[in-house]
Parts: sequence; C-alpha cells; structure tokens
Amino acid sequence: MAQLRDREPTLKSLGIVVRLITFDSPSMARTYSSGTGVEWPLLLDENAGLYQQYGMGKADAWTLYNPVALARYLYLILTGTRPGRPGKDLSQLGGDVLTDPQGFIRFHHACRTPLDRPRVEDLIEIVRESG
Amino acid sequence: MALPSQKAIPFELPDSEGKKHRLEDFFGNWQLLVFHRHLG
Repeated sequence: MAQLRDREPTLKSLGIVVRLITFDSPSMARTYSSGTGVEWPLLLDENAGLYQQYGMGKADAWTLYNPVALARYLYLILTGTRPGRPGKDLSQLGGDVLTDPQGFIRFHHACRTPLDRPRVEDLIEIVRESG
Repeated sequence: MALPSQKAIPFELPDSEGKKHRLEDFFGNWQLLVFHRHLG
C-alpha cells in the first residue's frame, strides 16, 4: 500500500482510478480509512464473493507462520509497525486487477503469500505502453 | 476465473458509508482494483 500511495500522483496523471476492496466489516473499514488517511474508496465485499470470482486464494498455516514470515512480522513490530486487530480471515490473500477504459482485464495478480504484491511500476508500465 | 483480455467481472459493492460502487462507474478510465488482506 505504501508503494501505491507513493505513486499516487503518477496514477492520477495517467487517469488510473484506484479502488480498494476488503472483506472486513464496515467498522474495520472505517477504522482503517481514518487511521491511514487513505482517500481511495474502500469497498466492502463481506462474503468475499468478488475475491473468489477473481481467484484470490487463501494461505496455509505454513505460509502465514513460517520462520521467514515470523521474522518479517517481528521486524515490522521492532521498527514501529503496530499489529492491528486481526480481521475476519487471516488466511485470505489479496491481489490486484487492472482494467482498461473499455472494461477489459489487462493485468491480474492473485497473491501467493501475504507479502506478495506486484510492483506498481509494472502496472504503470502497462498503462503507459497502451498509449 | 477472469483472466487478462477477458471482460472484468461486474460488481456492485457498498463502502463503509453505504454508498454503492459499481464497476461501470469508471468505464472510460483505467481502474486498479486492490484486494486487501485483512485490515488488521
């Protein structure tokens, strides 16, 4: 998300509309929006139906709690990132879908681990290359 | 599952204030749908 916010001016200049989607509750969404100051709309897909339609998977216990992941969580805590309240489903993974102005999917990424996200630069490149 | 070059999946989802958002609201623009993990 930080990477995305850093490139917000570029995304805006290219006419890319960002919409965030969560399966968490409305109250958690409000807390998230006010706590982070994110201005993009946060849409609620509480039964994760759109997640499933786009093939966003679930992480197994090893993926969530392997030594590398635990070390990463510890690093985040030690460097000042406070863990929040767990949401509804810790295993649900995210992903990204980029659609063109005609409504066709130009990029689809279903995360394989909690830290697996596409590079924002790659998404920007797809839009730039399309002219 | 929808794949690149296929038509995006239509949706109508509310935000936390109850306002409805649809895929077609921003036809004419590129759209990036960012599916979050849990928000905690």
